[in-house]
Amino acid sequence: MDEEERDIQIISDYLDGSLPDEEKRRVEHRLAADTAFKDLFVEIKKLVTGVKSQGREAKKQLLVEFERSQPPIRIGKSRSIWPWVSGIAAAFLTIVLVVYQISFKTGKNDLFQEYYQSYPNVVTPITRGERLDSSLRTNAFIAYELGNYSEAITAFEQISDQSDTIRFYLANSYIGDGQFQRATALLLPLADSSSFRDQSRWYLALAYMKLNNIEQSAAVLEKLKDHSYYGRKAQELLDKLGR
Amino acid sequence: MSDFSDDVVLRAIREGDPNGLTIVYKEYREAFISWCVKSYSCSTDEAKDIYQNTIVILYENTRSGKFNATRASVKTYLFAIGKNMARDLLRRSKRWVSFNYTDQEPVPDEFSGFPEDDMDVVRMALSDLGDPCKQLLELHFFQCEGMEEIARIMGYKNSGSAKNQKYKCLLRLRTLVQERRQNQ
Repeated sequence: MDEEERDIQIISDYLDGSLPDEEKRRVEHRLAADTAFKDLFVEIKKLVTGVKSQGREAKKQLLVEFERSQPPIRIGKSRSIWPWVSGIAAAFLTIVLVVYQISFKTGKNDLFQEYYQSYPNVVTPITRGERLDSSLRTNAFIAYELGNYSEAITAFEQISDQSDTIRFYLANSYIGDGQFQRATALLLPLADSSSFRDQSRWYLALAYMKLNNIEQSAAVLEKLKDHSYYGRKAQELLDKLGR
Repeated sequence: MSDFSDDVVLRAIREGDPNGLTIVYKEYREAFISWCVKSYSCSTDEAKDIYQNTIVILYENTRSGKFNATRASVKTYLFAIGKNMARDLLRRSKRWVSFNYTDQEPVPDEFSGFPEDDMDVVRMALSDLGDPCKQLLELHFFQCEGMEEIARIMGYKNSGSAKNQKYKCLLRLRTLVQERRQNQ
């Protein structure tokens, strides 16, 4: 066993708390004085933290599965010392909210129509007369370009290499097909970091708007405000949403 | 009225009873999720996500001995963790909370400072590593299982062999992570 392997053992024992006090102090001393040892320590700690995070994810998945077997949650009403007063107030508020939402929803749908344009196919340009191969990928982009979104979805979903590009166009096919919830689920990670980050943000904001999730839509638009292409449209939309 | 006392629940978790986690989950599920939705205006799905993360923290801290019922009741402890998590959610403007901890108590103190990308690489390398190494490392570092118990569970001759195996697995994991980084 070489010296580095011995150090890894010591660090591992330090991290799981099984090192005697005196050796623990020696480790702490070396951490302060020896850069190479400190680097190794950080490296091993990262591994141990990764193992823990893997364990947490596994336990969480178990709970997610378990949750599916549970009855729906009844959100209890808060108690009031004047139940009849709160009842009247609640009824009044409900009426106001319903009226407000009807006008609001209509407005948001119009805004979606006004701003939505399907993202162009810039991946597999299709030129008339060109001989096309019949690969899944090409079929998917043809269907997308022709606006046959359900066909495009089927083809995109079958592509085994789910790159950012494929996921982005699949999300856009969902939007074209009116499946906004699925679109947001796909766009959310792409809007964080991908080669389609800004485009994903734009379509994510539109999909949220269509789902009447104005808070989320505005939060995404805020991030696009300074963008050279989407910035102006994002600001316009934010203004129209009253943000 | 609770069907299970804190002692029963915590003992089940400590003794590795696979039902321990779901018993405690079921026990406070409705109260926690309703409270979270009402107090922090989050959606039921967000509240469920927070609750699930909270239960995992309770599990981890019970296994490691950082939490026991003499410090606070399970319910108080869960709601204290939940409060931190819900605040974190609000701070992020209702965006999805990745399974990360805030720097406030009571959460595991090691889980801070490393970028999620680094953790992804380790998780992928762990999957390359596979069992029995993956199981051994998880039993030891996440479940805080002692070497004797690991030897019993995994069929090693004694705690010494299990410990030796642990080092070997850690070295192998390190190599796999290094390989993945080089290929990035």
